[in-house]
Amino acid sequence: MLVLTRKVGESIKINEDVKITVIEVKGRNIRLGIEAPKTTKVYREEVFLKIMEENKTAANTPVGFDPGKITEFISDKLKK
Amino acid sequence: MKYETAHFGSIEIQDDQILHFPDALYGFENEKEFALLPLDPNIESPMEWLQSLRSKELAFIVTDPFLFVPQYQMVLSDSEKTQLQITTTESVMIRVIVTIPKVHVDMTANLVAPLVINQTNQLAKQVVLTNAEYDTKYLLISQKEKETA
Repeated sequence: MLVLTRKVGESIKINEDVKITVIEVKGRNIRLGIEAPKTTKVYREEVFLKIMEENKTAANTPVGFDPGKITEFISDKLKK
Repeated sequence: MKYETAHFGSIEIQDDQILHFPDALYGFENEKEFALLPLDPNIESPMEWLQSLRSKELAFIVTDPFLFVPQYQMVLSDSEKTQLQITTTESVMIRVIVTIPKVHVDMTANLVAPLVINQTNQLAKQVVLTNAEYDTKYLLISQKEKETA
């Protein structure tokens, strides 16, 4: 991992088109400004972790899983 | 070709039924090929299995999010469109992964990370929506609907 120190107002460039600027440091919080092309997706890491976790939970169908039952619940709902 | 499945034993799956996820699913980095199978061949259901063709025991339940959230919206980035070779929206199918808890009625759908499938070439991707208004645990049957059920 590359580790470097920046002061408030200073930036890091990644490739030619991504720029991350330190905007403010307040205690344990750091505000970052991110400039990137529209096609670059920027997320908080927690979003990824949450999705990974949800996929893993979804992969474990519970014991006693009843496809008829869930279909019935859904059909009842969709009829309304 | 014959594949082993979690719920139906060994079944024949045609090449044009295979969905290719070049980036795999989050948390399942080696799972790149799946097929959509009926939840139960004997009942008509808005739910389907997304069966892994690599790991027989791995199958997700998926559904059409628009049945539950008609105003569900997503914007694909240019790179996502390029990767899936999407040229028209008509060829795109959207599915979301459903989590079934022990108490089935509390089932939820992950609206943050839908599966985008190009039906013309079977290329697919689990996309992360950057607008934070959706939940990874969206209750398919709301509290209120449960009470009246």
